[in-house]
Amino acid sequence: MQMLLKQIGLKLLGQGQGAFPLPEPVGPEANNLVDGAVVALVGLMIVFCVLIVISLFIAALPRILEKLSSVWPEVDEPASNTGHPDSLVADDGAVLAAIGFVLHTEFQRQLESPDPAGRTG
Amino acid sequence: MEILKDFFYTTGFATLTLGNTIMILIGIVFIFLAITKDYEPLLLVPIGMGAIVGNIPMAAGMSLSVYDEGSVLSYLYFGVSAGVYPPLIFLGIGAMTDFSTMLSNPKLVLLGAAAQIGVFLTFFGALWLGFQPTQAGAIGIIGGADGPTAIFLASKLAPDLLGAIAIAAYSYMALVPVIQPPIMKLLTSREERLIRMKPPRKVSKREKMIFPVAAFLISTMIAPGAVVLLGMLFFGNLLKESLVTERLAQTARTAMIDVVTILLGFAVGASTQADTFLTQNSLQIFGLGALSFAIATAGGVLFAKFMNLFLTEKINPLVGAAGVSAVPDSARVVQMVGQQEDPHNFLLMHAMAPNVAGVVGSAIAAGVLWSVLT
Repeated sequence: MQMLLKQIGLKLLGQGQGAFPLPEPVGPEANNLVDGAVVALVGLMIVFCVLIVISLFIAALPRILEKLSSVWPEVDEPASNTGHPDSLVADDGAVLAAIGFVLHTEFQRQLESPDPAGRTG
Repeated sequence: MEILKDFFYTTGFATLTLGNTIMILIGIVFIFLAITKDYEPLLLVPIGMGAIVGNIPMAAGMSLSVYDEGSVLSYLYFGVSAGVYPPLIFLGIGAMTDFSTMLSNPKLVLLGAAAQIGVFLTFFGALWLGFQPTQAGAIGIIGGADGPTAIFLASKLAPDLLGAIAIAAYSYMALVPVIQPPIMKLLTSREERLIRMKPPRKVSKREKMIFPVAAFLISTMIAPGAVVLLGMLFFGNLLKESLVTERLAQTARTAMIDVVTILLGFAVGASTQADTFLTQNSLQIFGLGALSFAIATAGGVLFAKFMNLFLTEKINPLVGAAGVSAVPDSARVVQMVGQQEDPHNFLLMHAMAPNVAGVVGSAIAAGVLWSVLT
């Protein structure tokens, strides 16, 4: 059992060929219920461990950012407004088209208006 | 006349087996369920059509099926057998996932971990039934309720069972609204189902941008086996949250994921040829898959109840059922069951937290099993 745990640990750390050469792969050896139970238990513990660390990080993140905000203040406007022109999304195109349409319609109306005062350009 | 007779022997009518007929009927049932019941249509239609295509008897000497070297279908299937498609789907999932609810209530992340008990208990159950450890690992991941993860791990650990595992995983994902509610009601009292949770706080843009990179580093430093799936998941999410690559995120969550889903579903369906699929192993895999799903659901609900022993602000235990990573179906089921007790209780946003944590959890579980069992 101790050997199996050590092998699992080394496998997870991506080692096994260095200072502690593994005698055999874990797979074929784990073909019994005891080894299977150990793999299941260790596996579940690792999943919990990772998600607990992520959870702690998420909980700490607002406080870290609050401290960072004095040197790196967060701007309100979305980054896409100041980003590369390639970051234009489909909606931006639609808005531009709508603005263009309104301007065109307004100019047409003014050109067709009999009252010169109605013309602005 | 002799030519006609020879031709007849090359047709499907002459070589169609009972198994092929059953698989073609299963394919038709999948398509029927997708169209009439709206059960995961984006997956069941390609899988169903693939199953029909894969079970047309091939003429001898012609290279046509997914298992024939050099056939067109074998090239499409390469994306499955080499585990190429699932990470690409994860990229799309990342680009469409909003981690805000999880970031606003980090303790709900643990429910995503608790639901992974289904994976590991089923792994143990499969070993007990006599499966090889690699096969048991691939079967166990069905409990993660994550089709791409199940396919990815099966392609690495047990390619011979890939068809059955993929079909089981997607079938149970489609059956989330049927499987989960009875378990959720059985394990909770009415008072627990009525618990209202505090609305989530507003999450800043900066938190959302930092999270994918930090979570990826944490996950893969501890479980490097998950690097492919989680790398793509968090990369997709970074494309979305960085706000400067919206075009790429848009492509990842629409055109790209759609193309890959078509190829994956069709190739998996085409791999379910009767002689490889209709075996006793497949039946056991379906049984274990259902068990795995039920255990995962129960694990999440019971862990939420366990957490309530220590929390001042109680969690509605129904939310724990969303720890299985069938996004967003299991979160919707939580909302539905919660509203049956109290129509004004909105649990959907809370359930999304363990739901997306379940995606991360099942990818980690897959990574761990892959590392340990190969």
